[in-house]
Amino acid sequence: MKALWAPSVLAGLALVDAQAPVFRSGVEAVRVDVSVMNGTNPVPGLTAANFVLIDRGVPQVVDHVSVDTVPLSLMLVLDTSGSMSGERMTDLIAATRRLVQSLKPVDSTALLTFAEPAELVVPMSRDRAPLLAALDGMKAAGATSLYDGLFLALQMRPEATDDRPVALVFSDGRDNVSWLSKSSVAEAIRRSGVITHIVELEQDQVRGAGVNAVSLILSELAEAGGGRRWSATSSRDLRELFAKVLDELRSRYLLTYYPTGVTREGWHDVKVTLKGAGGDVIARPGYFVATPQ
Amino acid sequence: MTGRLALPILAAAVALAAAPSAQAPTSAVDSYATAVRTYVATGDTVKALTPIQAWAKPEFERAIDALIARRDQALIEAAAVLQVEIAVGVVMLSPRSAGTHLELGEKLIRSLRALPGPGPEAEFSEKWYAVAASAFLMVNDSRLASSFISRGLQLAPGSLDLRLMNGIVDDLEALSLNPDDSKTGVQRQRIATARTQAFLRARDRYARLVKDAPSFARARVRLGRVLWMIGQAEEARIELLRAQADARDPVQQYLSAMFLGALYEQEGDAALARAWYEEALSLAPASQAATVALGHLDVMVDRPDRARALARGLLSQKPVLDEWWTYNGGLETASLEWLRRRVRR
Repeated sequence: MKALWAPSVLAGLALVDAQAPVFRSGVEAVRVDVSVMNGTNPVPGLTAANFVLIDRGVPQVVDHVSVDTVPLSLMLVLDTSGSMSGERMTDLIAATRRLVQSLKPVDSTALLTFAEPAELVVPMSRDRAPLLAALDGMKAAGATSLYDGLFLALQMRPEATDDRPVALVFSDGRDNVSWLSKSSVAEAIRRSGVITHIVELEQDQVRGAGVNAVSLILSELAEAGGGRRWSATSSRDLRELFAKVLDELRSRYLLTYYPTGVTREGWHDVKVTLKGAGGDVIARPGYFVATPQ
Repeated sequence: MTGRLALPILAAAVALAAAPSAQAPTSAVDSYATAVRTYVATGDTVKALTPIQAWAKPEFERAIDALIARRDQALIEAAAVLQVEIAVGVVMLSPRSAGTHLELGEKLIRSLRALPGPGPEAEFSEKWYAVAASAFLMVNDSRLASSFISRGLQLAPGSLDLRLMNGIVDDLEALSLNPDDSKTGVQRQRIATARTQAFLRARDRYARLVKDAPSFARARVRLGRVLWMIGQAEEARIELLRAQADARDPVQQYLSAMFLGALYEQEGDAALARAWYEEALSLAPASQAATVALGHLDVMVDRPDRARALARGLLSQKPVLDEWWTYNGGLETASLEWLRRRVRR
């Protein structure tokens, strides 16, 4: 079984920040967003009894499990670099439009594009109209600043909400102009609590970085965010892939537990496995609790 | 924004059509001259090129030969700059087409030497070849970039800008070689060695430039960064601090501040790193790179609130060109701007 572990931090009732744990009766609730797949199909029907969760090496009791009851805060992080011109951009716009139209009314969405500059085209909102209108204005130009764009997108995650923060990143190439390195942005993803899915449109081989190398980089970033890398060989596949990502998000389990036997501050390695059920578990590799200022 | 960001709108069309259009030869020559004049008058490359966007190579060749025959220095210079604009615009889509447009541009440049009178300033050729070479750096083609640098140095021997370009070729080649991309230890070692060698070549070129021209801030800043990249932190600090103190150009002050921030961040001195990143941000208040650098530092020191505030501040503004992208991306934007000003004066 593939074991990519991880949770996101959230709180029980009165959530102040989707990243920081919130205390309830002296114990902070942590929410762990988990995908369980059998091949490309979600595994349904699991309960708290099916999950084994270990926080900093200490087994924890899963308090409750929910599926698809918490709204999504979906940040669309889309590559508009020069290589996306023509049919690719047309297909990306069509795929994004369909995805946005498939969201539930309670879900929120935002659009951030990146080429060299990152631009917050539409801020997080439940109103679909501005985003749908903005899609047609997307133009391809410039180099690819994926890491910096993604870092900025993570900072725009919603506060004061108990929605599930998700970044859906699309890129067709290798970052070639960011200030941040791959490892720097991976660490920022881990600390952010944002589920990160990356859809890659595979490119021809580039000198110094084969297709596999780019895919490995994107996989590493997705794993840091407890998500997946999805691969398309043609922009015509994007509509179907975006729909699969949404299906995956809808079928994820949200485990809530109250950590016991572990210190609060710092990085928490979290491991999730199954008992009495089969499937590949994908979740964030852990969560980070900042020291109070 | 740079031409690079604006031009791809037309890039697909001007990437050289496969077959000649049906336009009559005389009309084609006039159309090209009109395009050049439109470019000079408006500075709008897209507007200038739209009427000839379906042209293939033979039409450009015919038109350029005819234009050269007119022996009009100002028109020929403007056409040469237009050719380099096209190359910059199309290089990401079709490096081969960019090469063809630059060869045609070079024909224009060389024709200037046959004209009576003093001919073009060496600086014009120097800037033209610098931009031409840099177009290929945008797509990591160091071979073609070096070729144009060598040809430029024949016309402008000793050019500091072109000598700097030689260092940038090695510098960017090193950056394109990432050992982490390799699957095996042997490959990783081979790429790591090639990367170090390219950095060392860049270091030596920059060091010679700084020795020959101590006030050449661009060379000193690049020398400082390459020294840092190869682990010579103390030497890097000296060069970057000197560049920071001596440079009159805010761009070089900004870049050296960013690199000093990175140097101190790597050394674990978050306070000094923050100070230098803040200095960079004060020099370029809408800089995405400085915002991201500072924000990431905040995340790593448990201040995500400050990182969010920085990001929100940046994203509420209209994006501007970040000199880090120019530094990292290869295109000689300053030289391109010089050429634009020259033909539009």
